Amino acid sequence: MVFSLIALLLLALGGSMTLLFATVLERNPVMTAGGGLGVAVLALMFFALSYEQPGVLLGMYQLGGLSAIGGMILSLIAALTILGVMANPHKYRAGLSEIYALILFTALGGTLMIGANNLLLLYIGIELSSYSTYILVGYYRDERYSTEAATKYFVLGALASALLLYGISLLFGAGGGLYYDQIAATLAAADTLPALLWPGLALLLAGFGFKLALVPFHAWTPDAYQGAPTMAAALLSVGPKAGAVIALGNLLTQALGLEAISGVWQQALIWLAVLTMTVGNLQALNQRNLKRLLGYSSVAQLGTIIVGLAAGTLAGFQAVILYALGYAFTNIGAFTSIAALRDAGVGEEVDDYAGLGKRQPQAALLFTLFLLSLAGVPLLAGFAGKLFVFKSAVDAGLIVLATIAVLNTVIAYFYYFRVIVKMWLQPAADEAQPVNVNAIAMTALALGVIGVLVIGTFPGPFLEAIATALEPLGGLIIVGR
Amino acid sequence: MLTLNHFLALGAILFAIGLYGLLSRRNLVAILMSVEILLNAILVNVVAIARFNDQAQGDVFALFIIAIAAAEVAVGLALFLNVFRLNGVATVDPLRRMKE
Repeated sequence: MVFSLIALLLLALGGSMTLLFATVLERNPVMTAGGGLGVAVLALMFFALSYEQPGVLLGMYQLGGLSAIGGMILSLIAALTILGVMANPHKYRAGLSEIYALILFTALGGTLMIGANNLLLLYIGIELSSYSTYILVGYYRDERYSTEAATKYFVLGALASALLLYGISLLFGAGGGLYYDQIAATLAAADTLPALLWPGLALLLAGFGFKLALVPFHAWTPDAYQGAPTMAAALLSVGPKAGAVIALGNLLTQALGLEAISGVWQQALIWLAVLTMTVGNLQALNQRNLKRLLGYSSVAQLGTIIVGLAAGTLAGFQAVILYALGYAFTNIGAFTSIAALRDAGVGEEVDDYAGLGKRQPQAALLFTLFLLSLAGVPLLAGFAGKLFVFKSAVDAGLIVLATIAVLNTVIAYFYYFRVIVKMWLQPAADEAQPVNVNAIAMTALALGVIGVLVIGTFPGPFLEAIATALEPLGGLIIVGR
Repeated sequence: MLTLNHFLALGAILFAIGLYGLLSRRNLVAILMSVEILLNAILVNVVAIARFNDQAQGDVFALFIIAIAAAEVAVGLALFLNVFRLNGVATVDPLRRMKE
């Protein structure tokens, strides 16, 4: 109980303090960055310590276990993002200490929604991480692209929040309470399921669909990624999504796990997954801007994650969390590579990466590893995640869905390998120019690659830890179909 | 006699109005107002459900929604002011540069 509290307070107070003392801290950027990084790393450690201490905070926040794992993933994401920002702090003229505060708040929001067992806290968590990312996307306030991206993201995000909240309000009416267990009990005791439940569920899924950028709710993604500062895009592509996908799994299994209801949401998730994977991959095929390409790729990746939730089993949920962890390392790594190379003078178009293998072999190699992990090549984190997600789908009897997912992986190979081939096999336009990548950025990339390799090679311990954390939910999760 | 369904219908109508406004208005401030209408529709829902099902948590929820909506508008207004500063107009029209 103590450790979780310390970790949560670290994120909340750490962020607030950085905001409060912004003017003082601004004079010393190194200390500010160190402070932000320190808070994220300390929170990570305290979440790790709290893993074996289950409990409930104020009746609405689950401590230990799953929420500890979620907290660890989110703090890790925050730490890696802060490292990426530290590599070139001069880009963030609008205020340096604020950016660390917003990154910490995004992590806090994600942690809150994962641990929530109350609809109100779930909503607060989602909004905390959403508002922080709205500001982060528009952080280059003198650049029109950044402002345009933030405005589009805000308008569609506000729509998503409204749909989600409308769904929550209907669910509140149908379930007779805001607590997950209260809703589950009311629905289980009802002779006929209340009519409000179905529109509520549909709106809830649509709201989460927007937040997770599932097709057909993904329209904001490519613009937001392209216009945002690259490190903001990195955070946006993993932080709120890892939080929301685990929170969605938690909500669906704990509050709406009744067999008559789970059949419906499983069907809906299957269709969303198929659409998301296919449309995301096909649209990524002919993108020329690298950030836009990664935007569509992240749409497709989220589709794959949803396959695990659609399976509706404990193994599926377990695979989803492992996938989210590996995806966090991989995608932040990929975006940090782009940010670091951009600072070193390489453009953001795919064509600008021609011959990079000769101009800057180390960064090119690391970027290649991230792309391979995204594509799902064995021994890398992306492969482990995909493998267990697909396996859970097959075990749940969703053979067609698993087949479509595997076919989509093959489509995805085309655009990831297009970039890799460009880097290593095509001559550069100006080969004489070497590219110097910042040492801090290199450290962040190396950490990312270590994470990708460790999860990819030894997923066993991670899976075990996740399984132990999910055990308390066991009774509430529907097994099989 | 007013029942819960009347209030839910009112909420649905308000939500539809807000949704229409959000999707059809070109002025950013009008979009912000539509967001407010959407959230108020939800407030009607929550408060009515709290009253008819005798659930005090609903009233607390409503208060939280009001506070969070204020925060949302603050963020939105800041972004829209920036759009105005950069483009001279506060409409969605200049916001289509990235499509190429």
